[in-house]
Amino acid sequence: MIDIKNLCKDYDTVRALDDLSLHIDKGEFIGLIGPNGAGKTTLLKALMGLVRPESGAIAINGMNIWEKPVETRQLTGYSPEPPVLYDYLTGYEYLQFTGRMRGMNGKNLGDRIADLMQEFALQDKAAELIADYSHGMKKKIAIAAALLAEPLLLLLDEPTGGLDPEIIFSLKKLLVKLHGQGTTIVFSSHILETVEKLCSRVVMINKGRLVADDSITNLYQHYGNGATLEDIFIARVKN
Amino acid sequence: MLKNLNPVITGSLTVSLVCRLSSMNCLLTFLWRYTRVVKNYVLKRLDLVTRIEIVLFFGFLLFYCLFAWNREFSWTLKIKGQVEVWQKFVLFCRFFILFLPVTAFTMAGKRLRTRANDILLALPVPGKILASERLLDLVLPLALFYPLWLALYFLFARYAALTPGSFVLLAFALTGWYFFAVFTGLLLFIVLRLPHKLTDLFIVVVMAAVLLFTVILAGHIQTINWQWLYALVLPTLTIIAVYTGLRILTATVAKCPERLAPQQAKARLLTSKLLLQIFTLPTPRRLVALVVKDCTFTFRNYKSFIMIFLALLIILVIGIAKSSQAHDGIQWFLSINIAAAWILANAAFRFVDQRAESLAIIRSLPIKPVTYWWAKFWQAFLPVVWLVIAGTIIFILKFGFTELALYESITAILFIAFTLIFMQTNFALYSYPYPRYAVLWYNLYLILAVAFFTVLLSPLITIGFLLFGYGAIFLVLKRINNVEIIND
Repeated sequence: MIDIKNLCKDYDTVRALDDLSLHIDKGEFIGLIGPNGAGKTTLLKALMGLVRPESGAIAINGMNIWEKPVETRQLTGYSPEPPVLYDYLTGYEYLQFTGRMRGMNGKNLGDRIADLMQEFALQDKAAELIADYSHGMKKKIAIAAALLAEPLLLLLDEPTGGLDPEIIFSLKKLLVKLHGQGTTIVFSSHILETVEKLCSRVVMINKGRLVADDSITNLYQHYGNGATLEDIFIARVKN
Repeated sequence: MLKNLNPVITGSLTVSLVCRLSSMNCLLTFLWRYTRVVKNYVLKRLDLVTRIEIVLFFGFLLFYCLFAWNREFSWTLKIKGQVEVWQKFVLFCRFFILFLPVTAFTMAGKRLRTRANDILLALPVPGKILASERLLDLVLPLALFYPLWLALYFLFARYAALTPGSFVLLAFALTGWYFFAVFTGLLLFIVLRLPHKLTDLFIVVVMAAVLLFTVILAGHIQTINWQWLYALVLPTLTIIAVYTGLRILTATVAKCPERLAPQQAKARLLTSKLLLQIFTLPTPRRLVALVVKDCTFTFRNYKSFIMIFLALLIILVIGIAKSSQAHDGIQWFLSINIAAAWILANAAFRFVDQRAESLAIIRSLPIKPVTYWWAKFWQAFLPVVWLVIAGTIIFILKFGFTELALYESITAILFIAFTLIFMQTNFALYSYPYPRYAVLWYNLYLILAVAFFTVLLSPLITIGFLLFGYGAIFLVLKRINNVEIIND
C-alpha cells in the first residue's frame, strides 16, 4: 500500500527525516511512535504531499504521490494535529464540503454525514460554527472528515488527543472495524497503551530515523516477557 | 506636473487614494497610540520592499494631497470666491464623515480581539460598566483627533459669511456628525460579533443608512425629488441603529454566558447556498463546492463583507459623480471600473480564505490545483461582472449613451476585469501562505494596469503585460501543488 524509499527532509538545519525507508502492506494497522520532534508529523505530511522531501520517493498503491497527487489523495483520508478546519463553516457544512470534494453527493453523502455525526456524538453541534467548537470537537470533525469517503488508507496524527474517554472508546472500536474491513491505518500517538492495544505493527522513529519496525508480538519476544511497549520505547530511543 | 497628465490616470489614482484615506486616518491614530509598536513592526516584521513601498505611497499621497488642495482652493478662491470654497469644504466633510465609521470599525477590529474580550468578561465587573469601558477606550483616540477636525472648520469658516449663530450651530452639527460616525463604526464592529435577536435588524438598518448616505454624497441623482427621503428616513434609520446597537451591546455583554454562546449558522445562508448551487448547475461539482464554501465565508465574515461593500459604494458614487464632470464620461467610467476590479479582487483575496490552513485542507483533498484556481477566480470575477451591469444601467439612465459606445465600454470593461482578476488571482495565490506580500504586487499591478490600458495604450507593452499575466498561471499552479505546509 505504501512504499517509502530513502526519505530525507530538512527544515533549515534540522534533519526531520533521515534516509527513512518503510513498506506498509494493504490492511496493516501501523502505530507510529517516537518522542517529540522525532519526525512523525513530518512523515505523515510527506505521505500527504504537504511537505516536499529533499530526496527519496513515496508511492501509494504503486503511484508516486508527486506524479499522481489527485489519485493518491482520493485513496487517502488524513486527520492532522492540530486539526485544520474552516472556522466559518458549521461542522455539517465542512463534512459536506469534504464529501463533495471527494466526489460524494446527494443522499449517500447526507446519510454518511449523519452516521459519522452520530458516531462522534456531534448531532447537536452540526449547525454550530467550527469556530465555537472545543479542541476535542474540532478533532472529531477532522477525524470524521478523514473517514467520510471510506478511504483505503487512513493517516491519523494523534487522533485521540483532546478527546473524551467515551469518544476515544468509540474511535478505537471504529478503527478496529475499519481495519477488519481492510483499511490500512497509520496512527501516530504518544499514548503507548492505545498503540499497544490497537496496532498490529509498531514503527518507532527518533530524530528522523527508523529505530524499530516490527509486530508487537515480535517486539515483546525480543525484549522478554515482562517488557511493556513503554520499556521498549525508552530502550530504543536511548540507544 | 499633474496638470499635464491625462485626466483618466489622475482620476483613477484619486479613486484608489480616496479609498485608502480611511486606512491612513486609522494609521495616524495608530501611530499616535502605538508609536513603539509600529516602529518595531516596521523595522522587524516588514521586508525592505514593503517599507519602500509604504514610504513611496505616503510620499506620493502627501505630495498629491497638498498639491491638489492648494491648486483647487487657490483656483476656486480666485475665480469663484469664498462661498465656493466653503461649499468645497462641506463636500470634503461629507466624504470625511464616511471614512470615520470605517476607521472606527477598523480600529475596533484591532482592539477588540475575542480573546481579550473573553478575559475581560471573566472579571467580576458588571457587564454595562465593561461595555462602557470598551466603548470609551475605543472612542478616546478618535475623540482626541476631534480638535484637529474643529480647527479645520475654523480655518474654512473664515471664508464663509456666517453669522455668529450659524457658526456655533454648524460647529455643534459637525461635532455631532463626527461622534456619531465614530460611534456607529465602533458599534457596528462590536455588535456584529454579538449574537442577539436584534443583530440582523441592526445590520440591515446600518447598511441602509450607509447606502442612503452614499446616495446623498453622490448629490447628482436627482431625477426624483429625494429630499423627503433624506429628511425622514436617515434620522429614523439612525435612531433605530443607535437603539438596537445599544440594546444588543448591553444585553449581550451583561449576560456573559450568552455572549459566549455558540453562534448558530443562519438558515437564510443555507437558502442562499442552495440558490447558488442551482445557478451553478452546469459547472463541475467540485468547483461549485469550492465557490459555495468561499461565498459562505464571505457572508459570514461580516467584517470583510462590509469593507468590500463600502469600497464598492465609494467607487461607484465617485465614479458616477465624476463622470458627469469629466469631458469624457466613458473614459472615467472605464477607469472607475478598473479601480473597482482592483479593490474587489484585493479585498476578496486579502480577507477571504487566505490562510495557510486552507491550503493544507485543499492539498489533502483529491482536487487539481486548476480547479482551486478557477474557484478563486470566479469568486472575484463574478462580483465585478455584476458591478459592471449595475454601473452600466445607472450610466444609461443618467447620460443616455449611444448603443455602440455602451457595448464598446461593456466589452472593454469585461475584458479588463477578466485580465486584472486573472492576474490578481495569480499574484495572490503565488504568495501563499504569506498573502501580505501580495499587496506589493497588487499596487504595482494597479499602476501598470491603469497606465497600460488608459494612458500609454501601447500595444506592445500591453500585449507583453497580458502574456505575462496569463502565462503566470502555469507557475502558480505548480506552486499550489508544491508549496510546503509546515506550520498549520
